[in-house]
Amino acid sequence: MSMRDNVPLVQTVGLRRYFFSKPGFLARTLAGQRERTTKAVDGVDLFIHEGETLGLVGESGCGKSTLGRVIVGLYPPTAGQVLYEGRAEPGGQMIFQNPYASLNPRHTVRQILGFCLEKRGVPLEDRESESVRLLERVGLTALHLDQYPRQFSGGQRQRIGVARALAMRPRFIVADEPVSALDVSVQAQILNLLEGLQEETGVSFLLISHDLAVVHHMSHRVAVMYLGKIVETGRTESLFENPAHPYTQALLSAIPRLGKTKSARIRLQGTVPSAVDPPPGCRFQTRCPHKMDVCVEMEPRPVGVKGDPGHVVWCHLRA
Amino acid sequence: MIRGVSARAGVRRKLFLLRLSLWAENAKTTLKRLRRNKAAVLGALVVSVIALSAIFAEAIAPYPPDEMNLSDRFSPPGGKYILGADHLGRDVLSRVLHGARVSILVGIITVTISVATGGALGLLAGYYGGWFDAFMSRLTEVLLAFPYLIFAIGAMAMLGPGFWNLVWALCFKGWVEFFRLARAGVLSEKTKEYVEAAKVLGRSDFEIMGSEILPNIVNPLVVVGTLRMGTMMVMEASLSFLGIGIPPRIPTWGSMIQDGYRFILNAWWLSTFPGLVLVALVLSVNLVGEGLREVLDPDLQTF
Amino acid sequence: MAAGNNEVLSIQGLEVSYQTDRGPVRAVRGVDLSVREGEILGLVGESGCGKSATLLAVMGLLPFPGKVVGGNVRVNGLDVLKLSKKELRSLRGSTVAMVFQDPMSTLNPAHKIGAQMREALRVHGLPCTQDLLVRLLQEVGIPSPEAVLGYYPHQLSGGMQQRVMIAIALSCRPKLILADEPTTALDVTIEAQILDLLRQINRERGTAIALVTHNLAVASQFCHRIAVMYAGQIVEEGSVEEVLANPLHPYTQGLIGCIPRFQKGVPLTPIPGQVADLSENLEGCAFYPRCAKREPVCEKTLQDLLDTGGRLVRCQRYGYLEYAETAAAQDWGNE
Repeated sequence: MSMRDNVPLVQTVGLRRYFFSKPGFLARTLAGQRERTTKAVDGVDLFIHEGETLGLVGESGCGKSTLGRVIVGLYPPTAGQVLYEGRAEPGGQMIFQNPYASLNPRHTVRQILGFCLEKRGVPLEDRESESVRLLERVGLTALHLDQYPRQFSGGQRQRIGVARALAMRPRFIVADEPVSALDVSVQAQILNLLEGLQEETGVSFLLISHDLAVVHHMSHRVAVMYLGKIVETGRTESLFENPAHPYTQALLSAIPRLGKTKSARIRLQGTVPSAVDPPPGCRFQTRCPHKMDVCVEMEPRPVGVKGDPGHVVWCHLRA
Repeated sequence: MIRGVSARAGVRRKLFLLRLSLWAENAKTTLKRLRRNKAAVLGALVVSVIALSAIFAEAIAPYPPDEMNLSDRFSPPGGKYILGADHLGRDVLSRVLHGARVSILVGIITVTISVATGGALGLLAGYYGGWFDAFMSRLTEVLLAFPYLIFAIGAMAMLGPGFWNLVWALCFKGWVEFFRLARAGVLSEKTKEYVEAAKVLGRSDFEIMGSEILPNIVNPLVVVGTLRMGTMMVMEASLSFLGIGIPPRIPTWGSMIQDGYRFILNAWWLSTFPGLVLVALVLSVNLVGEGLREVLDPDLQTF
Repeated sequence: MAAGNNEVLSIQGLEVSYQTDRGPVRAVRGVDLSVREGEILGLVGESGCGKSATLLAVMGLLPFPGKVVGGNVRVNGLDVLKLSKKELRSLRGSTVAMVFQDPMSTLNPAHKIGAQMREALRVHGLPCTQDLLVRLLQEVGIPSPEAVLGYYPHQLSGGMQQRVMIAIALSCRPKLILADEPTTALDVTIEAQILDLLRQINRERGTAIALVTHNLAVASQFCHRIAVMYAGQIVEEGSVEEVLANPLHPYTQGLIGCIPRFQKGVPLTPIPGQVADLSENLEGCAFYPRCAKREPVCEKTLQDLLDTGGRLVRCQRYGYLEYAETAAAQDWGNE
């Protein structure tokens, strides 16, 4: 392992992103609404190495999408930093969830890719050949250059989305639920495409998904997010085989697995609390089957899981 | 080096031609769908007939519009004057043809200025939000509180009669609707993922507004713009009717109706013909506008 | 509860067609299906395969351009397609109940939960006492039901809304619940809760359930029997264990190969191409262009559903084999 491997390609340090909503005069006086702060991302430390896929899982509203957007620079962080190759400037590209909304309906594929190549500084006369090369890499052809997004199926659109991200020759891509809007048979096509790209170019992925099977298949490491915080992170195999956080355990036992007979399930009570008013102490205490007094009083600190380097859990049980 | 430059120019020309052909293809499908709408076709036909006769008024009109033959005062339609003569012995047909110029010009110019300013301000306000948006929104709310005609009368009273004064008086409030339309469009488009994708690529705000968002909100602007052309023509006629629009020496339909309505019981043709053409033109413009709405507004499309 | 022999739902030769500008789209092309008492049947397939259209046709709820153009549907022996609108409505409230994907769009946002439940019960001709409402909500595991009756739908989470919908569905003691992607909009932990609830209802009351889902894993955990649909037809049907352990149809095999299995190093084998276009006239096997095991004959001839010892499969590969050779054919399918 060389020295460079120890400097992560992407790193977040104490990253926070709050959304402030200030209701208007009427809403305040008549409907009694108050100013609200949604703590979508509330102190996240992550790192992603070169050529690595980090899977980010969590339920809807846990802040995983916001985290991805802060990392590529779509939202400025409220506090903390995103370091890209050790420097505090945003980088990386993004693949979006909805293949129907992520391509401008008024632009042809040639234009969509052309704008990227222009930004990369590819001279005009080379853009067509470069666009064709990109299309062929994602399984489309030069014939698709002058078509509009509406002429493509969902899977093909997602391929164009991948080509657009690749056009910038990024070393890092945030893939936000890249296959959740696609049919199963098409999902596998896109997942294989992403895997192939990583093998070829060594690009790193932050794969955001609620689908644990997809994350397990694609990721080298996994981070589990709950209410704006990471609760557990580790190598994929160790996290899936030996989950340390009660939330991860519950999540894993809840996934329907193909053909596997029904195992005893850890049932979680209730639903995720609001990120506007997160519970004190450990965020998970309102649903945790192992809740202790200390969980209400104190936020848990990260604890390494014994005998498993890189496997860290934020839970008082393990302290 | 020189070869490189010429090669680049070649590619540029090729790209331009390509874009042109794509645009032409779009326009062709729009026209094709528009053709299926019979009312819109009829409207377009009437509009073009009136527009052409306005352009070639000098050649078509049998008399100069302000030539007075006092001996022919109140000549009824038919005979020497196809649509009759007015109280000063001027040919009504010639005056109607010349009056079309004012109506059409006022319609086109006011709507173009209104769409351009309203659209641009709406784009900026919707995209950036903040104090500018808040200020503009309040301003438009205040403007909307005044009835359009009253507002225009007030403006004309201050500015005095005249073609450009009339245009400014109409535009002064005309842009508000397009501002709101553009702003609402931007608000719904700017949260879409394709805009986020453009931001991640590092496209500038102006590139995003102009190249990403604008093409997606321009259709309703075009549709409503066409519909408003009719409104503007009626406004011009109303102001000219009240005697505060276009100066009396330029023939306009509004002032012709005004001049003639005093004699309506004895010489009906003075007001009736300009009134009929005005109705026909406004109706036709609206038919075209409705046709465009069906074709361009995606909400009404089947796919 | 084991499945009885009485068929609660029986569909024969169902054909559904959507009339569009570009001609008819044949969404369902001859579906035979039955659900027996106490059974959970899964209808699995990708978007546009006709699984939802089949379910909606049963209830006479096909959206506008959709029409049943052939076949017949019997619920509890009653020919549904011949019923008047009024009779259909009373059937919906008594023998059959439906649960949809998006509870938020089914519940009226302007009315309180209690009022909506009362209205539903009134339509079903049931007494709507406060006690009954509370008991119904308790049965679906809603904590503090008295308070929930006074809530508006938006005050409840998606999972709780879905529970309310199930409570309404249960109020008439239906023999059959038709569930169209009931957990697709929910998070995994909530999905598990809702599936547990439905499973418990099935076990304790013997209510038959027909579940439409795109998620093979959900179906495999939840159903007794599944039918896999492709391009408006059933391509394979059988008990969950058998179909998953030993899929016969190339499409089922392909579908299973597409799903990550929580095993490192097992590559995904996607099905090439796109789902068949149903506005075209499909002559032979609809899966032909994407099939890994196709033969020239498949392009022009459509295979009937073959019965291979309790399992149904629509593939000519099993057509010319004798019943006794089925076992060998299955091995072949596993290559």
